[in-house]
Amino acid sequence: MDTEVSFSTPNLVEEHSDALARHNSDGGYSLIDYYAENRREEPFTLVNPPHRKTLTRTESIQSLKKSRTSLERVQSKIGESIHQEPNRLNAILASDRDRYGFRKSNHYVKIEDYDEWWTRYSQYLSRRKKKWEKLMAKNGLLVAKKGSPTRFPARSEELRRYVRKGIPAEWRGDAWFYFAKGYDKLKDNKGVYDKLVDETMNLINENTEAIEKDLHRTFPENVHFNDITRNGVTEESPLLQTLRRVLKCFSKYRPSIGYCQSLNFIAGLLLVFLDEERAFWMLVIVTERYLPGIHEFNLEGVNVHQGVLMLCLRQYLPNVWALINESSHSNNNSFLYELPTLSFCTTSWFMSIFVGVLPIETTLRVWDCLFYEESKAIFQVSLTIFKLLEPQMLDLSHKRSEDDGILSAELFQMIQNAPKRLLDANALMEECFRFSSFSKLSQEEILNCKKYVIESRSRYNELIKRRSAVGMDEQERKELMRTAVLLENKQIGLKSMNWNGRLNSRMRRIQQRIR
Amino acid sequence: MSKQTSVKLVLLGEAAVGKSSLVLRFVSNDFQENKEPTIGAAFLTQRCTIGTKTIKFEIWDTAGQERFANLAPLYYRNAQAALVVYDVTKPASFIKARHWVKELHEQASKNIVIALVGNKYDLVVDPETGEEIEGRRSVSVEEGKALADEEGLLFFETSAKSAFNVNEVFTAIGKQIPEETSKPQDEPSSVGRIDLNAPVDESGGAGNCAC
Repeated sequence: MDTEVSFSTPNLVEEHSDALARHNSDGGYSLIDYYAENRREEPFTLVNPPHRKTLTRTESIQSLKKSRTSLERVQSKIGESIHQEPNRLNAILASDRDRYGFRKSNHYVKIEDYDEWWTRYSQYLSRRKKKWEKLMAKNGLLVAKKGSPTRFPARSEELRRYVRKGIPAEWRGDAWFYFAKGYDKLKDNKGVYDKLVDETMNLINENTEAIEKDLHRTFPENVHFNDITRNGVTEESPLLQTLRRVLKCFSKYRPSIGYCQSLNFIAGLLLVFLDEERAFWMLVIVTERYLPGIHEFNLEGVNVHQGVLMLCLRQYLPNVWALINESSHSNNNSFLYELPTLSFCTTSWFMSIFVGVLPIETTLRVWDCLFYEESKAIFQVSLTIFKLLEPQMLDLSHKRSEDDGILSAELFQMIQNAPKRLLDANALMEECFRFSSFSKLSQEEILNCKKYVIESRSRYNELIKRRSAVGMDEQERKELMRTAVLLENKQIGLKSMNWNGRLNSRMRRIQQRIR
Repeated sequence: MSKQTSVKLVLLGEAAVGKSSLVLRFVSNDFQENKEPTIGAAFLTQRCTIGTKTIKFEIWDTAGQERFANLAPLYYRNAQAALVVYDVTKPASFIKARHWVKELHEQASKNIVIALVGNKYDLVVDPETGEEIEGRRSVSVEEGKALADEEGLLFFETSAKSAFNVNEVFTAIGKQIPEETSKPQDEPSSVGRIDLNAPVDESGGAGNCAC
């Protein structure tokens, strides 16, 4: 134990996100939402039941009332701080918190950089707000001075442009809910949420256990999500109390999902902008319409979406794709089954819709587009991030040494850390919707890709199942898979399988065994 | 000039046992209460010099919730080292750790170096005296050691909060990594399982808090 041990300080890859490479290539994939709801329930045994007090009905109602009043107080406080009057925007400069209560600076963003950016961005926000007010007036929708509209203009090119340039923060919740057709959902489900609250009040199961573990780990950097200590007594944050209810109700309402880590971030951010019931329905809409399958038990939806992203990268950013793709057979689609290692970094892009991946103001701009333009926005933004990183990624690849590990480690770090510095939401959005070759990517195309990926993956999974049935080894599996892929791509006919006589006879034997 | 080798290391274990916190302590010597759950996986690196050997740890920190286990094989594929983490105050997390060890032995590369880590040691000791407080822990040192001996693992009790034993885990792993496996390779190495008699095994739960 006497060997000398030393540790280096963290080594972060430097990047320059202003270096934008613009190149155009066109082409397209095509897509129909294919989503089979996958109701797989896992066996559950409760280990360690928590010693929480079971409330009587009267106590429950009282505590619920109290919690809702406190929530309203917190939300009106947030509402005030995001109301965009010039003095309030400037007040942010004097604080260490942003207008939603998040810490302005972190490991990736220095407070000076935030303030410099905010000085410009807050002016932009005031200008945009005035334009929105004019747009609303033009459409005969009057908005009270401090109020928020519950109706928005009909869908149009113009409105889409406005959304892409950012919805005023104080209208955000209402706008998201309106665009996502939340009011239809509410109308069809009158009283459902209250009933769920009632039913889940004293519920303890695997899901509620997991929710408890994550509750206080949701936005610890946001002042409104921190417990309040007054005169030595600690009271749980009203936002967290509400978040608990929303997540518990959701786990009951959607048993095929239950509680999945990352839903805490989505629901938490929704609660900054929406009241409890609407936040709940918005969470339902997000998981069934915008990100179907993503949070299900087997997370297959994550793999499917990642597969679509890989198809998009291959199509639109071939240079980036060349760095990411690990498959030696460049002309097949085996990357759809065995996703490139890089896909680890992009899991959270889908699961938490960029919360914690991009700075919060940037994330909100992405959510604006998502709720107006459907899931294609997530893919477009993902592609944009890669496009912005392309010059640095290529730089790194030039430095490729004999040790391949060095390249990939630095690449992973860059792809993981660089988005956290993308404060300039306007630059990201302009690149995404104006300059890029994928600015015209349609929702239909994404849905077609998705269908293709789902079909390819289920064929592959079928193959794997048969493999385990006949006891194939790794090498055989790979060869069989490659053959299957080539066949699928119709690059060789069945006859040309003779190119590998050994494999051919081996396949025949396997087929016999299957029979 | 010392030799530098890269070691791919993966962290596995139940949700909220402190996987990310161990990494944060090791990489940045920092601690954060209520650390956000990891979604999918996080990637970090840290260099560490042991004698004349420099090791660059490429660390994959994974999400703990059960359903993310479906993605885990991707993470431990080609990993040369693994930290299987549990919470010394949560018996269920120890059961989960046992499952992970089993899965790694069945699925991961043969000569993978595994460390079993009982985290949150700070919760069972008096911060003043460093003595253990009766009734705080749910998994005994003996249970941890027994599993480690049975399965041929390194064993440590740690506290990411107080920094107790954290660097020691990584150092011990670094020492166990044979130089010829520094690059991922498929063929089984002659080295086989790790040396059970290594002196680093002694450090678990000894109470000599490093802070």
